[in-house]
Order: sequence, then structure tokens, then C-alpha cells
Amino acid sequence: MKKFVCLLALLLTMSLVACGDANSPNSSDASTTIEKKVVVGINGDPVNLSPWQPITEGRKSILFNVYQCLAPVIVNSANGNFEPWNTLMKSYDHEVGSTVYTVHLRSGITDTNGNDIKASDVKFSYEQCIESGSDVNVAVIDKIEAIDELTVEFTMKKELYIGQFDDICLVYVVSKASFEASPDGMATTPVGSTGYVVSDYTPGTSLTIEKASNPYWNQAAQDSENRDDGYCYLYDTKNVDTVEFKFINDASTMAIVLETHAIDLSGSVSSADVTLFQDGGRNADSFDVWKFPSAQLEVAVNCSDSSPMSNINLRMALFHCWDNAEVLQTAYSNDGQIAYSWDSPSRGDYNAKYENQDYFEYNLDTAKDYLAKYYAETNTTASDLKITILCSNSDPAFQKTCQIIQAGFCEVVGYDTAMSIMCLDNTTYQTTWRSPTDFDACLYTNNPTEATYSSTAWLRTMDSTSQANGMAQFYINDQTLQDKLVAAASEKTHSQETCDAFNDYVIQMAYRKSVCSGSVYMICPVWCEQILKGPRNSIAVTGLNYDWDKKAQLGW
Amino acid sequence: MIRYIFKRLLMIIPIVVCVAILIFTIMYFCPGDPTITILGPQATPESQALLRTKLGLDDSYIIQMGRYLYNLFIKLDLGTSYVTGRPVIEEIATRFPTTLVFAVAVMILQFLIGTPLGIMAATHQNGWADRLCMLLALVGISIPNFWLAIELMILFSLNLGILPAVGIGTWQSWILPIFCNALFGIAMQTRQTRSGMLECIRADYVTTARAKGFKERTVLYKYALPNAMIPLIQTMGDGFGFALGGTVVIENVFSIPGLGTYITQGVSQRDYPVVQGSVVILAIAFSLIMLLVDLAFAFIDPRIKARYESRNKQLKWGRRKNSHG
Repeated sequence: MKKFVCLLALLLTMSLVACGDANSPNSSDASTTIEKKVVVGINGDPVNLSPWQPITEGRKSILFNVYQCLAPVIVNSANGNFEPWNTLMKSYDHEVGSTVYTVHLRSGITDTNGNDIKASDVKFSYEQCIESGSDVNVAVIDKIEAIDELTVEFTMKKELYIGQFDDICLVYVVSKASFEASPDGMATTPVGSTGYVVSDYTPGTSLTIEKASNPYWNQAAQDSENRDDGYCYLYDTKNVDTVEFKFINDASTMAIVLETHAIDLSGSVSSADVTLFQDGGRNADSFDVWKFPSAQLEVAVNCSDSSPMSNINLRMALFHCWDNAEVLQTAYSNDGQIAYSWDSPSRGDYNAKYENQDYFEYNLDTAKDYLAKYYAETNTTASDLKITILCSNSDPAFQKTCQIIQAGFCEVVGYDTAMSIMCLDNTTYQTTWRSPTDFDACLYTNNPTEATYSSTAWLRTMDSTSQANGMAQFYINDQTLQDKLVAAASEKTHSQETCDAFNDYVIQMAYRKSVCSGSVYMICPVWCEQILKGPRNSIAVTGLNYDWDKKAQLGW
Repeated sequence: MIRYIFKRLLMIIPIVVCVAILIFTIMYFCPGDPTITILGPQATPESQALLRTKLGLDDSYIIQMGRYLYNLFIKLDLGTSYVTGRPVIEEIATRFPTTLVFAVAVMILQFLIGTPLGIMAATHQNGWADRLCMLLALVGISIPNFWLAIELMILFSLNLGILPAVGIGTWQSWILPIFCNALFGIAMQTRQTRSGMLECIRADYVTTARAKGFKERTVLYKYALPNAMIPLIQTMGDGFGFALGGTVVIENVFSIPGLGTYITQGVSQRDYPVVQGSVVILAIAFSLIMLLVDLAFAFIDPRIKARYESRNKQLKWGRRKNSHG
């Protein structure tokens, strides 16, 4: 028996030795040809590569490398704003006040199978997207017509708000011939018009894209880097030949595989692990860390009759009982930005004057005054007051923020039971805030990359015409709010003044208080010049500049 | 024996039906709306309502369950994933083999390491070997496997660089996840083997065997171990079932595309067909494993086999007696 156990131990040891150096880049044979390949770690498997499926973590990181849209909304590094970059679309005509948008396509667009993409293919793609029901932005399209080979006319059901057409231009366009030739609706065999094709896909493990054998249809613009000719850094093909996306579910594992060089880049490293890669960390020599603001955190209130928050004095009391700076310090370790308005500096119409305004300043005495008014109006006392704040458990910072708010509110009311926290998984959270009887306040996130204009982001939550019961999100039934929102968002009246008027009214009525935004870290190797963001907080992998010689010298 | 096997196979059907009803009911009453996952948080109430009607989520509990059971048992259709739009059976078919291989490897490792350690502990009772084995078993039972997974990954992938951290591309990448998942089973197997062997070692027939002059190895493996095997086989069967359905954490840490990650994604996204289909498949697999365990009992223990055969004979005689009488 002892001999057997010793033999087993010896066998295991020999097996481990035989495994060899599984991760070292030097384990492979040296080659004089530098392989232009990058390995990216992402937090999700796209599963379905079809162009018109719901957005998931995996799909948002990969699909824009394969499919193109009329004009992706991505950051302009010159000014930091998000803007549409005309790609398939050369330009569009539209009269303010009209519901018709006439899109002019660029000539010579082909997909990687060599099929042309014309106006009829754009019409086909949009109709498929509308039928799938996966994109709420296209629900406003009434009719699509291919006027000629390069002209598409969109007729909307109603006048669009400013920036709304930018969202409509995000639909992926494919050639009808390629789509119909696919046996599974491009679920595993995507064919797009970028310069890359999916060469390998192992569900749950990895997906690889490689440069297509057919040259990219707008190589001239990529070479000249002229934006007017259709250059977009997202679709640059000269930097890298192969990109492998590895699906890594766990954030700690992501940090480990970065350290072992099993992957080269990642945008999904947790804030706890990012210190390993920053200055002073053990991997600081091998990696660079790029920081971007995360989604802005906001407190929204339930203004329905079933909640005491329908009273403005109580809302005011709530919004004065915590300090945004304290939330940033406690929940985000001071790594982020305090919010001064319901807006984001990354949008084109952000007004810097907001940073100097009185924005629900933390003052417990002021909060108590408002609370006293609330008691007088409603003939209630402190012991009657019990409210619930709802948050998602997808980020530990959310619960910490709620705890700070809870502490402040309970101190103002004088009862520890005045506020309870309901922390739910993301899906249940998104169902619960749609029920007016289940919560009173809600911690909400506002993704800064989802809109080119502030008013577009406001519309998504405050437009009472888009809700079934005619009330804005969180049950706000206020015609003045709707009028000011329409004035700020309408193409005819959008201006700094109308945006300020809306912002001021939201503050006056205490419908929402923005708190702060944390940080998202993207890590790249030292042989990559800089990180450029793609759509929806992804990394524009093919658009980055890599120093392949440096990579080879470092032995990666 | 054939009749017994056939009867057990038929019994799987009501078990699977009960599991299907149970999982459907749980998912039905689970809070959360799958239409939000499909359409996104900005979905309008109108589009949500349309989708709910299209997916049949508006129907009553009885109608939905009836439809589900009809599709499952009559059409043998596990449904289509709400999120991916692909048939659930296809997605399970790509993932189940990975989990199955994983589970089989865990079970084999459990047996190959746990049994000899348990025998060594039993034969050296109260000695250093016994104490060491029991200490290792205690550690194996106590250590959370997710913590162990991260620590082993840091040690072998990051520090030593001899094993890959994620994926299943090479045979080396299977080592860490299999070991992490097998450790608990090895510990249980060690303890169970020790306990069973101690009981058998003290039996009269073992004393007789020693008195006859047989070698100690023969006494242990030919006389003692077979009698201790029955609870061990049960432990292995349980371990296999656990490895089949309980590898969620390990699959997530090592990014293994198995059934565990598939089910957790389905639960978080409220993808009902995925969860229901996966649980039904696991129920069938587990039932088959338990059948194999019971058959193994009969194979190892002639008393059990004889009992089956005598019962069959009694039934046969009983019928003949009745037909004559």
C-alpha cells in the first residue's frame, strides 16, 4: 500500500513536470516572422453572432469587429465627446420638423464574401431588426424605402428628438444575399463588411477573428485616415491580423491570466486587482492602465400615489441627507467623479456651470426643515415614516451607497427603521422598479456612452409618451416636466437654455439626484500605444497601435 | 436482473416528470421578467407586453405547464433559449460532454486516490499514516473549492507557470479544475474507506483468512475490501452527481464551457427554457447514475444479486402457483 501511494505521488509529480512551461511566451519555437496577434480577455460569450439579437456582454465586445452600421457612436479623442462617425453612411438629409431622413450610402461597400451592400440591403437589415424586436430604438421607424442603389429613405412615425437618429444608425447592416445563404441566420457564420472574419469559435472558450482574404472595401480611407472619406479607427485593418477573444467569467481570474500573459488586453479587471498593474504594482513594467468614467449613479424616486415620495418636501429631505463626496470616498475609494447635475461631461451639450450650482447640498438641518413641512402637510409623524430604497447587487458600491443614504436619512428622521435597503440581482431589480408599490427610491445608473446628447439620455427615462400609462419613469406625472423635456430634446428648440431649463426644473422638483461615477479600467501591454474605446465601453482592439517589434523583444 | 433494470428505467420517467414540474413551478414563481433581459432595460411596456404574448408568458400557470410538459415529453423539445434564440438541446449537447468528462475524471480521481489513502489509514489505525490521512481528509472537506481554485491558479499558473489558468484547450488545462472539484470527494472517499475497512478488518472471516496464512495484501483486497465497497460505491455515485451538477463555481473560475455556467447564466437572465431543460437533463443523468450504482452493488455483493434472483423466482413460482391454483 505504501508503495502504491509513493508510486502515485511520483506519477503526479512527473505529470506536472511534463506539463512544461504552459504559459511562458518563450515556450514556443522562436520565429523570425512576428505574428500580429492580440489576445483579449472579455467577460462573456456572445453565444449568438447574429446581427440583431439582444445586447450581451460578449456581443458588445466582439460584433462591431465583424459588422458595420451606418454610423457608430464612439469617442472623438480630440474632445472626449461621443459622436457618430459616418461609416456606411456618407451623409444624410433631413429637414428640421420633418419625419423623413434620407441616407446616402458610400459607394463600393462589400462584405467579406464579396457581396455588394446597397440600399436594398440596408432596408433588409433594418426590417429584420424591427421584426426581431431586440432594439427599441427602431420601433419609431414607420417605413423604409430604397430610393436608388445608394439612397435609403427612412420615414419615422413621429418627429425625432435630437440625437435620436444617431441611435437608429447603430443597427448592423449585412447583405441580404449573405444572410439568406447562412444556414442559421448568421448565428455561427457571421458575414459583415469590416476587414475581419470569424475564423474560429469555440462556444464558452474563445472566438478568433482574422483579416479577411478580400480587401476591406474602404481601404483607401483607412490608409488616408480621412474621416470624411469614411475612416473610422474601429475598422482599421493595418494594425493587427488576428484577434482572439477569450471568455473569462471571473474578475480575479482575469487578473491572473493577464499576469501570466495568457491574454494581452482586458477591460474587465476589478478595481481591487487593477493596483497590480498600476505604478508600484508587480506588473507595472509590463502593462499600462487606462481609466475611464463608469456609469453615473443616480437616486430616482417613486412619485406614484402609493409612495410617500410623491411629496416634494420628503424628496427634498432625502436629497439633502447625504454627501456625494462621502459616497465617492466610501463606495469608490475616491476613484471617480462627483456628479453636479443629471448630466455627464462626455456629452456635447454638458454645461460646465453646473459644477458651481447648489446641487442638493448635504445639510441635515435643511433636510429636517423639509421633513417638518412634510409632516405638517401629511399629518404624519416620524414613527409613521418607513421607506425602501432599491438597488442592484451587480456592484458592491451600490449597496455601500445605499447604506450611506440610509444612515443619513435615518439620522434626519430619528428612527433606525425609517429606511430599509432592498438589494436584488439585476434581473429582479429591473422588474421591481417597474412596480409602483414595491419601492420608494431607487439607485439607478446612467451610462454615459449611451447618448450623444444629454437630452437623449433624459428622454429615455422622462418621456411620458413612451410609457404605457402616460407617465415618465418612476411614475412622474408632470406636464411641465414633459414640456420642458420636449423643448430641450426637440430638434427645433434644443439649446443650452432649454437644457438648462429642464435641468433646473428637475432640481426644483427633486425628481432625481445624481451621485457620482466610478471608474472603469482597461489594461493593455506596454507594446500597445494607448487604449481607444469602442461602442458600449468595449475596447477598439483592431484600432489600437501595436509595436510588434517591442512585443518580440520583450518575449511576449 | 433484466427485469429489475427495466423496472428501474421505467421508474426514471415519473422522477423526471416530478423534476420537470418542480423546476417549472420554481421558475414560474421566481421574481424577474425575462422580457427585460431580451429587450434591454429601456424596453417600453408595450414591447414587453407584445413579447410576453409571443413567448406565451401571459398564459396561466396550468396552461404554461401543460404546454411545457407536452413539448418536453411528447415532442421531446426542450425549447428555445430566450436570449440566444437557439434550441436548448443543441446548446446542452455542446456543453454536456465537457461536464460529463469532468465528472468522470473527478470520480476516477476520487477512487484512485481516496481508496488507497483510506486503506492505508485503516491498516495503520492510530499510527502516523492514519493521522496524516485523516488530517488531509479534514482539510479536503473544509477547504472551499473556489478559494482552492484561485490559490492553485496563482501557484501553478502565475508563480510556477506550468499549468494554464483558463479554458480546456489542452490536457494540462484540465488538471487544476479536476483536482479542485475532486478534493472534497477524495476526502470523503478516504474517510468512508477507512471506516468501512476498519469494520471489515475486525470481522471473523478476515481473522480466518489470516489464520490460513494468506498474505496481508490478499486478505485486504480479496476479503476485506469487497465487503467495504458498497458504501464506497454509493459515495462515488454521489460524487459523480455532485460533479455533474455542482461544478458551477469551478467552471466560472476556470472559464470552462460546461453545463454549470450554462445554468447560472440561464438563472441570472431568467432564461426559463435553459434552466428547465438543463435541470431535466441532469435529473435523467443522475437517475441513470444511481441505477448504475445499484447494479454495481449487485455485481459486487453476491448476496444482493441472489436476493434479486430469488425474488424473481418467487414471483415466477407465485404466478405458476396462482395459475394452477
